[in-house]
Amino acid sequence: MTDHVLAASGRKHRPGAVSLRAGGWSAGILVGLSLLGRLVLPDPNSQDLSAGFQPPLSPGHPLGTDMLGRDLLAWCARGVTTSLSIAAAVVLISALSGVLVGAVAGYAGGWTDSVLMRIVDLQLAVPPLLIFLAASAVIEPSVTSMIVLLASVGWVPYARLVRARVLVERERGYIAAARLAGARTVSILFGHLVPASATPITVFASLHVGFVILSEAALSFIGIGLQPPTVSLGFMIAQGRDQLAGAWWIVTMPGVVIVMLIVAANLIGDGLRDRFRLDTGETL
Amino acid sequence: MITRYVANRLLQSVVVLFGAIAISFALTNLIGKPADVIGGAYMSQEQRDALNVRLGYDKPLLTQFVDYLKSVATGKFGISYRDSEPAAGHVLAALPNTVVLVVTAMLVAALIAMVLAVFSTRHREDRWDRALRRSIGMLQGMPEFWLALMLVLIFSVEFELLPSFGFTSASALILPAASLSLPIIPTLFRVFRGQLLDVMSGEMVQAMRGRGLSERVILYRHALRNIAGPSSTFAALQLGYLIGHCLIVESIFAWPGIGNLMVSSVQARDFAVVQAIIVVVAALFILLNLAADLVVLITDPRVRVGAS
Amino acid sequence: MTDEVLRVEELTVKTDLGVDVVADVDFSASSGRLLGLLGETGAGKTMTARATLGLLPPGLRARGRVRFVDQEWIPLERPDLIRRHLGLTAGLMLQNPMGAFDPLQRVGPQMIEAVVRNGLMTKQSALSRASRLCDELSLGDAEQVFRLYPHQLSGGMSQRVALALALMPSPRLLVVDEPTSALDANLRVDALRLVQSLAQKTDMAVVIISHDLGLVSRFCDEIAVLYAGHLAETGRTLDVLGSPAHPYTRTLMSCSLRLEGPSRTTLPTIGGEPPGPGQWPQGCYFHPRCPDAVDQCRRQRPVFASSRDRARGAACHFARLEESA
Repeated sequence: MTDHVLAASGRKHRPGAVSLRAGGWSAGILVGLSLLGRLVLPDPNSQDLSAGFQPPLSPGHPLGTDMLGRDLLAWCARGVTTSLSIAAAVVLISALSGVLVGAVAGYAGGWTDSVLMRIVDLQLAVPPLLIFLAASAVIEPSVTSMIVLLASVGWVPYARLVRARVLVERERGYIAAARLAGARTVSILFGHLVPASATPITVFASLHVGFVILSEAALSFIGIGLQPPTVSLGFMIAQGRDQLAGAWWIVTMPGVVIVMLIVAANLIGDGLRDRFRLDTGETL
Repeated sequence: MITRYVANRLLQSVVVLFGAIAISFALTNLIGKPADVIGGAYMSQEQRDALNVRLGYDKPLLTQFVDYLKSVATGKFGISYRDSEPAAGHVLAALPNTVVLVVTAMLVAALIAMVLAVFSTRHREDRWDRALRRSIGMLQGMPEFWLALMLVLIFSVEFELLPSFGFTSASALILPAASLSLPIIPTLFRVFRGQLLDVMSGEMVQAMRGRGLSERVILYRHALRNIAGPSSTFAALQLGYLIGHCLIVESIFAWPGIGNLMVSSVQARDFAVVQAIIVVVAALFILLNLAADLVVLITDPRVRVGAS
Repeated sequence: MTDEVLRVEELTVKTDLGVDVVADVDFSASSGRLLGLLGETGAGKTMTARATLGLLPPGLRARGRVRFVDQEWIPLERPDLIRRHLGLTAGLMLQNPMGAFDPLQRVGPQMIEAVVRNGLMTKQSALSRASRLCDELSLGDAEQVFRLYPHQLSGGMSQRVALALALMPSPRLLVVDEPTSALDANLRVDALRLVQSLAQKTDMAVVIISHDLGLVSRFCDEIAVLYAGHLAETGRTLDVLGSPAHPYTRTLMSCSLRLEGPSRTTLPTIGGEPPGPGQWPQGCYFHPRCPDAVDQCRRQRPVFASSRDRARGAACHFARLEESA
């Protein structure tokens, strides 16, 4: 009983409030600016060869331009929306499929469970990036292929989380009671077991967003991800790579934006984790 | 008892390895006939078909897979189509360089993370600790390729302190290892700190305080040793992530490792090498993790000596 | 000769946010005698003991003062000062005897570690003392025991080894926390009998924290009953349990089944639950569950009153404290 007293002691705000506020504000500002940018800023893809290599704070180009004269501010602003929309899609698909698989595996047990666990091991052993790289040899890079690729790997942690939760919950009294009352498996699964895992899933999802943004940037950086006209922050960093000595801002600006996005996502994730006092497992 | 554990793990590992082989096979063979992709628009249909036959891609899939399994079992990963040398050779030549980089990065990251975790535990919840934890959060958001470029910008371009191209000397290791290790420090820090705090608020520490042992002795002579095992196990799990991101770092620094080999093979559509790399990386990860787990087990007296 | 080894006055424990967990507790322990701190889970007995030893977890603060033997009073707000007595004047034994040890080290080095580090004895004398203690506690071949790892000790052995460990510095005070859960019943009794005989032999004071009425009634000379963070009643065990002055103690006694009573009765219980920290009722904290509560109990909080010789005390408006015989 004293546990909850201790838990609440020593804190002036609710746990995680600071992180949540910081993360929420940062994310909000980034998204807001990005949407504003769509209205106000020029097309990121419009080139102006005469205005190439402009340093930051040049007239009309607050963040400078790249070698082809593309405005970096416009590029970064649009890149935010690209990153976030891909992240949202991937996280959604991964979460839905992962939760489904994990719930079934955890509840049914037996070999479905063993298969799932071997897949988890496999994913740890073979770095997804490696698979993506190999896959890129045979797949045309596009927004869809990127989403499919990232989701095909992204569902595994959700499955693992839900499975762990289900394994614990299914032994509980209320599940036995539901079974005795004649509830069908499906309703037990989705009415009780899945909602029980809602909080760890939410926490992980917010961290997953940051991870997806990172992965997409990395893939676009090595050239197997998004390409113009799709506006990717990673792509621009790759563009600026050979210009490091002369035009450092081409690499720096998009990178800083990526960092801000991921930090915001992580702050929200940390805040949620603190708020719900979760121990979501070591892998997070 | 240990032998049963090892046998179990080996069995699991074989399954996982099999999975890795299957994946690498599937990627290259199921998604499209390789010759079509290699040749693309530059070859006529007859030329592509001939190429497919030459490379053995016209046989039924199952036969191909079995053939592939057989050759992997004997260590033959096929022939690199670029220079007709065995693919295995390429991979084995590049492997040590990657291992050096990854292991260095891991050790550096683990060391720094542990030192920070101890600091955070000793200064628990005071303003230094909170400042530390806030700033570490920033590190986690950094894409390692961007970090690598920033480091190159600062140390190679501006101040010309460190080399940034190839594996020329020991100092060439510094920038790539730094780019790889910094982004995983926050994760390691968080886990180490959690484990440390758990131990410090547990029964053993209470009892030790009750005997009059100082916080310092408890922390350094008992707590740290007790978390060494779980910490190592967790760190070893991060190797997969590290190897994956090492790819990118290698391409930035022109580091002659597997990552670079992978990128160039992919670009040249050299499937034999690509397949070989996937299998070797999986095997490497499995081996390293198994080794780490065994070391941890063997050093734990509860396992080593058994109950009376 | 019984002199006072421990005296605690006005012990209060609060969370950092100001919620009271324990309020205004006084008690003392004398050499050669066993004091039982009795209370249900959540009554605050563990926090009381921890505060006394300066071992409160982060997030909790203590107020009040404590004194060991005849030394200066130490404010409970200064756990650092209190802790200097740990491993010297005061020793602690926790619930799970095996949990006292570092699983990665052999038993021997751990036995002597604290006393040697604190400068109490040399390694040699520590080893011989440890051997002597093992003999006294019938642990067989001391050298062999020292070579073992903690997990290799059987349940009974680990209890004795933990006891030996706590006794290494010849403490004047031993605090035993919940000697009930981790062991089989017969081992429990064994261990407490050992503690009892050692206490009398070495003039050591013992404080036993427990929720087990049977255990406390059997082994403790004195008893302090805690309810909802407050002291309900104190006195010699025989007096308190024989003629309880506080309704809570009275109801506790009536809840226990007797071998001689009728065999088919309903299990007597006290309705409701004890209030947790922050939920203490107005007036007397026991009044919602007290069978004898009246209006005054709801309005006015009873003050803890002691009999003239301080041997008995209770916090109830209607306590009749007979002077002990």
